[in-house]
Amino acid sequence: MVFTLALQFSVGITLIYDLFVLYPIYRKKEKLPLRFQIVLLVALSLACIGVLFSLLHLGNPVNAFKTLSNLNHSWLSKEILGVIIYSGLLFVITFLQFKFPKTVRSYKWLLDITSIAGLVLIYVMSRIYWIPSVPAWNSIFTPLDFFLAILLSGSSFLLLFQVFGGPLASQKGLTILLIAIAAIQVILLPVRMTWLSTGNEAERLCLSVLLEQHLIAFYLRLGMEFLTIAFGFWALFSIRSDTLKRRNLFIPSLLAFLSATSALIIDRYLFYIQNIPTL
Amino acid sequence: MRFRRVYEVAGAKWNKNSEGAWEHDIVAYNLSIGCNHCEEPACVKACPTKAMHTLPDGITIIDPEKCVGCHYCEWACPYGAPQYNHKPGIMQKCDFCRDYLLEGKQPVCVTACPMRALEFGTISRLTEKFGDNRSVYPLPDPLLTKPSLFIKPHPDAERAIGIGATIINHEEVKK
Repeated sequence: MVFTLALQFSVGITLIYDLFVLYPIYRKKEKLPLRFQIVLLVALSLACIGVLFSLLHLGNPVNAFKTLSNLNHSWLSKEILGVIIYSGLLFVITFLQFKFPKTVRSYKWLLDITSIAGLVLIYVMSRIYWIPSVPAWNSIFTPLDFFLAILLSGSSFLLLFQVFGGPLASQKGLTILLIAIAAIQVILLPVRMTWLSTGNEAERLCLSVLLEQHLIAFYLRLGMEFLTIAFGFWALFSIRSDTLKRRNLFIPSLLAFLSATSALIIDRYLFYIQNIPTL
Repeated sequence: MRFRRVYEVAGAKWNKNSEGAWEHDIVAYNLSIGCNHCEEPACVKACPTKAMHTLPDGITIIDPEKCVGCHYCEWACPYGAPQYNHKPGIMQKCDFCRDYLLEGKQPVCVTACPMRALEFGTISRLTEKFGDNRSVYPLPDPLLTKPSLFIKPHPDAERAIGIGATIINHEEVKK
């Protein structure tokens, strides 16, 4: 769970940073503020935490290198390769940003490749759970959930980061994205539950486990999504052109980030308890 | 470790007969399931280290030297055959009592069954004897992994879905 969450956050931050922060600066040929170095450092730290936890999770971590042996068939092997490629690229670009900050504009293409590698990693990660033996996971909802999670985590983190000194267009764009993703997640929840209720025995059992044994977590998650939307709107209305009023954006952005993060953690917890096999 | 699990499938409902009286309709049977040593094993495809592999004789086994205990075979197998052993920190499962087979003996579950409900043999012999039925409710679709399993279904099994029968001993077989 820690591995999945940490990597999703990391990829989300890298992708949203690339699309919503770096791209506008790059297009306008502006100078990149030095404080942006921290963004990729956070993304890299999260990736490292994820990798560390994945090693501890293995029954026998000494043999971890052997997990690359079945790249042709095993999605888990592909995931590990994906993590190595993504983390490696992220390390290189973070290193370059710190080592040669003045020439950072020339590394934009590398960040684009890192973001694409991150997206591929998230797809591969979702394929691990997209298996017929666990009917509740075996649907398009699994990759959809994973991709929405990276967009939510990335936009909420970068909005908080952009509070002081970020361009207005970027702040507005991030806030609208945050609200839209949280709203989509709220809409998808009943759709997925309806799908579970019409499924086979394992899917119906999964729904009853969700509603009978984890109802509090379920409502908490729903509540956090609504709070994210509410704080998102608060942030949207707090965005002003003058610097003094920008400070007003800090509180709603922080609350939106905390509620979005809580929603993602609970969502991942609820995802794993749905591991109810056919037999 | 429970390499072989016996599921109790049961269900019942009331039917009104032509004379207006209510009659009960009951379904109850046992389903003994271990590793089916499938022709297209999902566990072998899923295993990232190739610890799970199929031998030339069709038996799927785990190489304990390669297994990292990641549980992915456990998730992938629709029959729940691979299980995690905490002590060595690796996955384990039924290997058809391979050491016994090499000595010319039968697997222990087959010799132990007092009702002679389990039988072991080559696929061709078992198909000839029992037909090619590889599934019964609530087993998953056999096309997923093509299990080397041939079932002579209990007479009640055909009515199981219609009657809403379920596995009634989940707690017993899982832990």
